[in-house]
Amino acid sequence: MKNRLRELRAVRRWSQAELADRLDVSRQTVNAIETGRYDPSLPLAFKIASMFGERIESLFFPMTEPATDQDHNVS
Amino acid sequence: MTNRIEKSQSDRRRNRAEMRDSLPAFAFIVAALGILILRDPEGLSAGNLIWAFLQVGAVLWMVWVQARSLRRADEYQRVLRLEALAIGFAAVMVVSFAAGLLDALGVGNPRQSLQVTTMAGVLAWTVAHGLRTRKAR
Repeated sequence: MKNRLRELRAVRRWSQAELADRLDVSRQTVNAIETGRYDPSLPLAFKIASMFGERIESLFFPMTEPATDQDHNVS
Repeated sequence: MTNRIEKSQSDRRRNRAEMRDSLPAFAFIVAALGILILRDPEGLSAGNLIWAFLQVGAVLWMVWVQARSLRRADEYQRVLRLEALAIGFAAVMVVSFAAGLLDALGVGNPRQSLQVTTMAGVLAWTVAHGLRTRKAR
């Protein structure tokens, strides 16, 4: 899963450690989420989204592009 | 802005708590091993029984330390720890199977095999956890 965590953190000028403190997780966890090595649980994802005042689906999205109408029409 | 080796307050809090839990347990294990080195327990006696229970006590203490540490860990750290534990468990199974085969062939000493199996499991667990943690820095 891809996410905009690094981008949003950079806007607020927070370090990974600062964000980790706000989320009460380790800095390693923040790093793993940012680099896409780890997909957070739903409760943590909601916590991240609420911290940045974003909707969860605008923060996290799948690696693959969403299917287009053209894809659906292929028989 | 991003300091990759900087630790968060929660990291520091967890590390301190882990040290507080594990240092006395580690000292206890060293003491129990010291007793093992100083006296060679043979046969059933009150002293040997106490020695055996000391060893079990040391292991149980370490299990308690690990359980507390696992409870304290956040979700990602918990995944890393459990993966490492699974690798350690796999190592114990493989080594104990090999030890069993060697014993069936009359090679080696079952008591030593047991110690080697335990050490192999702990070593595999520790190395796997160290590597995964280092990789995830």
